Amino acid sequence: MQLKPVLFAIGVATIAVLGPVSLAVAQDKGQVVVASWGGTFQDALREAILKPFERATGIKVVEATGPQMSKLRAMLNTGSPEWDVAEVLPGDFQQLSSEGLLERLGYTAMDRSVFAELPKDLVQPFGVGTYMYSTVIAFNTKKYTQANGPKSWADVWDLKKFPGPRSLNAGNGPVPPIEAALLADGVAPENLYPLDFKRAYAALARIKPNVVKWATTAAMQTEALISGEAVIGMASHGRIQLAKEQGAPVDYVWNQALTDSSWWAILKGAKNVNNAQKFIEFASRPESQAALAKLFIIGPLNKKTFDLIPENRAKLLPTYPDNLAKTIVVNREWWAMKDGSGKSNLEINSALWNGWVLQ
Amino acid sequence: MLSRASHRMGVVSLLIPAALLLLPLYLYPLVQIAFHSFGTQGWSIANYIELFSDPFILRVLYQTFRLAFMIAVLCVLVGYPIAYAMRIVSDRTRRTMTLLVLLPLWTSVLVRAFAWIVILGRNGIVNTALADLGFIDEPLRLVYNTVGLYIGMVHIMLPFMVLPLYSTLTRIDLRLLSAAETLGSRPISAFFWIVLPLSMPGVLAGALLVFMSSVGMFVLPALLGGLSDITYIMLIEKQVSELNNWGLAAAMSVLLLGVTGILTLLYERTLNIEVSSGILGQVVRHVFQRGPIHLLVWRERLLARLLPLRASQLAIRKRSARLGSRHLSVKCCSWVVLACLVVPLLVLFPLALSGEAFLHFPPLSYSFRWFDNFFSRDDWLTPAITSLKVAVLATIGAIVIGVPAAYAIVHGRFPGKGIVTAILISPMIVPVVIFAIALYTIYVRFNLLGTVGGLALAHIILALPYVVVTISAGLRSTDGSLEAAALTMGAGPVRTFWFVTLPLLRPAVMSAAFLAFLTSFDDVILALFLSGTSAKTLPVRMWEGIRFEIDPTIAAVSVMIMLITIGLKFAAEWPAKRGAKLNIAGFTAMRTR
Repeated sequence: MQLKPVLFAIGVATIAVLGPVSLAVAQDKGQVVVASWGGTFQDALREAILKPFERATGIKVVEATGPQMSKLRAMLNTGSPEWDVAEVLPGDFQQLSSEGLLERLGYTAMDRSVFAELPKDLVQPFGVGTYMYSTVIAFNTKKYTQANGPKSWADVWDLKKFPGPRSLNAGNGPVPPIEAALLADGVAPENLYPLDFKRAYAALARIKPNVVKWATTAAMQTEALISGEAVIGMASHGRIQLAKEQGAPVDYVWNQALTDSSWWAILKGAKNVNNAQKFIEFASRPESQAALAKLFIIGPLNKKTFDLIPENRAKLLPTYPDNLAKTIVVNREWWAMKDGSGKSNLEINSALWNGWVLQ
Repeated sequence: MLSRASHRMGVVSLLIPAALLLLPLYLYPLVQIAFHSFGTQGWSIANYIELFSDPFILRVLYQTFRLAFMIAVLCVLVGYPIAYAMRIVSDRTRRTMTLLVLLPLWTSVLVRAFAWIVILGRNGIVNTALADLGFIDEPLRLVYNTVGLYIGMVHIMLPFMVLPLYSTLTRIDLRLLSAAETLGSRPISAFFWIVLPLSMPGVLAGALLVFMSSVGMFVLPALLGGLSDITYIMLIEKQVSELNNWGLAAAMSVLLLGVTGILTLLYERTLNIEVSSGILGQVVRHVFQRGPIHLLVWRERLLARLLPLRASQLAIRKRSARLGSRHLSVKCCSWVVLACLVVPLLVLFPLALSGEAFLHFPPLSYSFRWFDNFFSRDDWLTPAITSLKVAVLATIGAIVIGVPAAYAIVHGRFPGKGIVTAILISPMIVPVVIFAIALYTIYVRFNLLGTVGGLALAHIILALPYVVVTISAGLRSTDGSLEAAALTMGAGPVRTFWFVTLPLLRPAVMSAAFLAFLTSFDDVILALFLSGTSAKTLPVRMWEGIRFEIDPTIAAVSVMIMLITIGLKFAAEWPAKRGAKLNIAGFTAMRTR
């Protein structure tokens, strides 16, 4: 293989040329360490936001991956975390901000007009929403199509009209199937919260014999549906849309989709707080969000973004007004709320799930 | 001649390297975890009360041990024929078999799980074949449940059984079998009454390795298992990551260590069956060594009473038995098992060549894009090289520290030997998540984060149990009289070890080195915490993005690693092949003259 030495030489040459340049720039403006979730998403993030940020401000962006809770906590415990900005999952964000482990955002230091364009509840003292993502009702097109497929969670639970194995989220994963179970049981979206766990678990028990896979990550949900192991299930919208574009036999509906968003948060004790705040402001701009939405299926939060995205792409996104109207937002604050004994609803659900699982 | 005391000192001093490594980087974090379990303010047993009053946690603990035990038993049943076949075949075939047994370990758990789903799924290969042949009407549920989990786990645990067992079998003189047959025994009887008891140290060593590793698994049960296939470690991880209940997680870890520590102590006593005067030692001696003889005698007496003519019938059968086919059934059985091991890996080849960005079997289109992706991206090549560096360092370190330590616990006689053995073996069952977090705090303080050396040190600790168990099983099977002979001829203990013991241990050292390398190369959790941004390893890179997708580049990487391993094997044999050809040419030349 003659390619490898050539590539290696090119790589060395590039570093030799660009190294001194970036070093000089870094010495001027410093750096910011940004942690996201890796894979093709981080590739898209890099192209859409990280590199433009470096070009616009001269601040060097150091990438990191894997902001899962155990790692965040280990880092925060030491008092001087490795990372500055992390893309934090909603449940984790609620916990960390309530424990005072995140830096307060100095909105006066930044251009506040950008944040006025985001939904109010996604701009908080300790973090800003990144983008919206959805969990949709998906199905394998070898068995069902848009015409004769399930259109609501009640349909997913209806084994007579829509027979076939199901794939649902595990109760101890990031998006538990509680809301879906309650909606299937007939609860109206306005009356969902506070969630009735007893009713939800009774509904889950009804469908349990037909659930082939209880997924704990989005990757597993999609694989089960693509391979035909399950014919109907909960799936992460971004992943299913991408698979569908690439020719996989899957499709989905927007009705009753459950949406959520992750958060940009600055870890307490971070070394580059100012640069981190600049980054968050940059990432919330319509141009940045539009660039990201063009490369990866996510729901941009900035209202003005949709002026910058072509219509056929915009129609696929969770925050497109038509789609947004059909979705139901998961109430993360309720999940993090603690009851009298100090246990959050997340913990209560976890204990219930554990007990239910071994029955 | 050395005095008793100085000999004992010498043996204990073999443990110094292990102590230097384990005390600051392993025992100190463990003690911290234990303290954590007693609460952060003062001393309280609230966590333990919560632990013991929750029936779910204890039930999962029992379930995990039961799973590990079943996997160990299955591995013994499946792995013994392979290890035995490896013992009796030619060198070249043995190398092929070793390669096939180790091959599953070279692949990432993600793609391996997917390969099993492809084979065992509703529309998978097995179900489609059975339906086409008309054996079944409805697809069998073989995956996402306990059946699939068992298959997936045995697949990955087999090398840990086969390698220690094989290195023990090499020390058994097979002429004992011939001797038994000349005395009138059938081949199978000879095996059961002679080889099996002698290979017990290897069987127990392998079973212990498999048991401990199975207790520590949590990725595979999440991917292949069903709803109720929760393991204890998964629970601990959940307490740490989502529920932030580190006190409870620490208490759960202490409980796990306690129970498995007791098992390790029992194992250590079992290894010393010759000298142990304890009850367990006597039981094991009677059951495994003298028991078979007693049973044999009783059986023959019983049969002689019931079937007086049997003796002459046996004699007639013996004359017509062909010795050549003696081991045929074993060889057949082992090749079948090896084929089952390899088939899932063959599935990876078309997956690596698929043209889509999602895993689908059979692929809808073919392309080399994932190989191209790997080589053209620095963020794939650098982690691969880092992984290699760390694994090589960790292997060398584990062997250098582990071999003397194993020698010390096998031949040494000092108080507290059982506890030392338990400590050396325990990294296998300490929940890696807890260990990683505890180590993280220490590494931050000493600036070891993101360094190849730091990660290698952590991996040495992880690999040490495998080395210690394999080497001590090998030492057990070594004939002690050879060392005694060397000592009486004037060689000092060091020379004896270097020139007599070590060469005899070569198969065990090779097995231990393999296991250590693979443990380091495969590790995800420690690397996730300790590799920082500058020492990212290949498994970490493969895990990235799991929140959204399974990158087919992983399949390409696994295929490449497998091909490299196969290529290395053939490259190592090339000189041997040429030599054989020359011999044959010379021989024919001689004959025609």
